[in-house]
Amino acid sequence: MDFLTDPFTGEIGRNALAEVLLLALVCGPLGVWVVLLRHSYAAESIAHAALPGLVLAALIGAPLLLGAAAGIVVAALAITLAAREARVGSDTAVAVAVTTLFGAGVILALRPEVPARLSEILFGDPLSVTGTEIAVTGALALATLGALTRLHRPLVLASFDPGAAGGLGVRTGWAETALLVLLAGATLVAVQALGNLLVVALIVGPGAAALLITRRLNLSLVVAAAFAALAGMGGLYASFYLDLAAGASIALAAVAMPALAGALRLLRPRRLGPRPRRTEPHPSHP
Amino acid sequence: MSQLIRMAELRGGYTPGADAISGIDAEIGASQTVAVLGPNGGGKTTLFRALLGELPHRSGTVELHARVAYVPQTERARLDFPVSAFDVAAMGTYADAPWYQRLGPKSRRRAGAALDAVGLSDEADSLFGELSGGQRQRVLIARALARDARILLLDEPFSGLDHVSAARLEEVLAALRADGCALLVATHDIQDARSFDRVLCLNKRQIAYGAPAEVLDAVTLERTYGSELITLPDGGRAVVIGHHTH
Repeated sequence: MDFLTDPFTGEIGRNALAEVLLLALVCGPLGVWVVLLRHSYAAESIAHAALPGLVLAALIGAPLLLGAAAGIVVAALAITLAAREARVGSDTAVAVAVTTLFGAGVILALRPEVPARLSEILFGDPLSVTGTEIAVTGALALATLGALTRLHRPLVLASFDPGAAGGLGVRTGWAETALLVLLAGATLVAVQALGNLLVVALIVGPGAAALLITRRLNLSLVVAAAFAALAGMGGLYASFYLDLAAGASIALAAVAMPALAGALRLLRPRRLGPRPRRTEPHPSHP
Repeated sequence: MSQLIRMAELRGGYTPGADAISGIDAEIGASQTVAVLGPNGGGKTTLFRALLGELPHRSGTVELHARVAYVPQTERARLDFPVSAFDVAAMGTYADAPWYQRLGPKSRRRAGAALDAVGLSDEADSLFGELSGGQRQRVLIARALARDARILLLDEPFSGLDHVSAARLEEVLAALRADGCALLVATHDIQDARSFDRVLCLNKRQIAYGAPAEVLDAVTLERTYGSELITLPDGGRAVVIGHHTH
């Protein structure tokens, strides 16, 4: 069984494992809500919009976290301003603002004075996380899980039946905004390990996979965290034994999850698949 | 018969100065059923939102002597959402438990009793999206009952139901009426409205309110529906329902 523990005998491996497991706790459940509320596009956009801020932070030697946060704030302002024009619409506003910011980030990134950290920004490197970064991820995990518990009922109604929420005494207006803030926070913290281009995989992949093979919301939240943890560990094993980039391996494992879940559902359609809608039993044949 | 709702000179809308409904005067008692008739955009949903306290701009009087709950059309709920019939009924108790607490035994009992009241105890564990349209509509009524609501606002509950499902739903509504609930039902079905205790005709303002025999005449229907009303070859009236947006 040494092959299971070998990748984590050194401090680098142990740190990477702690980081991806904490990220799994955040990204798995968050991903279920992102998929249910159909915010996968927003999840990808938030990550890409952070690029110019990240590159600028790398250029001036500031913490990457601050740079990414500044990038996301600029993106949010640009999207809000563009979406005010009714003929543009929010989807187009997101597409234009994010592509512009991503383009600006690439132009900055191609400058000769950008340090070698750039590939780390784009693709992440869980093997380089420090104890401080793990502590930050741990704090984020606690805060996110606490917030998701607080938001659970408003999010259920916001995604299942938003029109009826007020009549049930539950306010949902702020719940989706709060979810996007949590998403931005998770993206910021996960960029170090998974990179600007790949972070969305650990959010959307396990969440989508869990929803494919579970029939209850609470179970899907737990299963998504477990899938994200499996993807994280699978990526680290692949990196160790096959000498692959760790961040990219984790991202690939995460996006493979929905495909595996779909295949599993095909193999066990009665247990996992959708069942046909009923017709009302006739009163004379109860 | 105790009074559950009193509306007097009620008017309001979504932006200041632009009333979507006006001149609403009605008293509704326990065990009364009210058909709310009107064209699309005539103010049926706005009236419900005023009763729910969700209308941004409102003046006049609304007195409610019992808790009110809205029962949406089943098509407005997500059918791919991973919740059981019991989970949906339990949503009616969400506001009663603090956010950090799981739903307690009392809430679970109320959700179970509400499902029982609509005849769906056996389907408690079934996924909401896998139930028939009529069963889903009854689950949404159970959710309102779990909220301890005695005033139910139902948005076209018979829309899209086959006659077996519609008959079962009618049984449930009759039982709720017998139990003392006031039921306001938004509907386009003029013939069906004749079976209600009262009819409220709305076309941005209240056209008429009273017993069906007094209210449902040609002049009132013409004023309520305008060009959406057609006369059938047998002399009956029908409404042409246009595209509905909220």
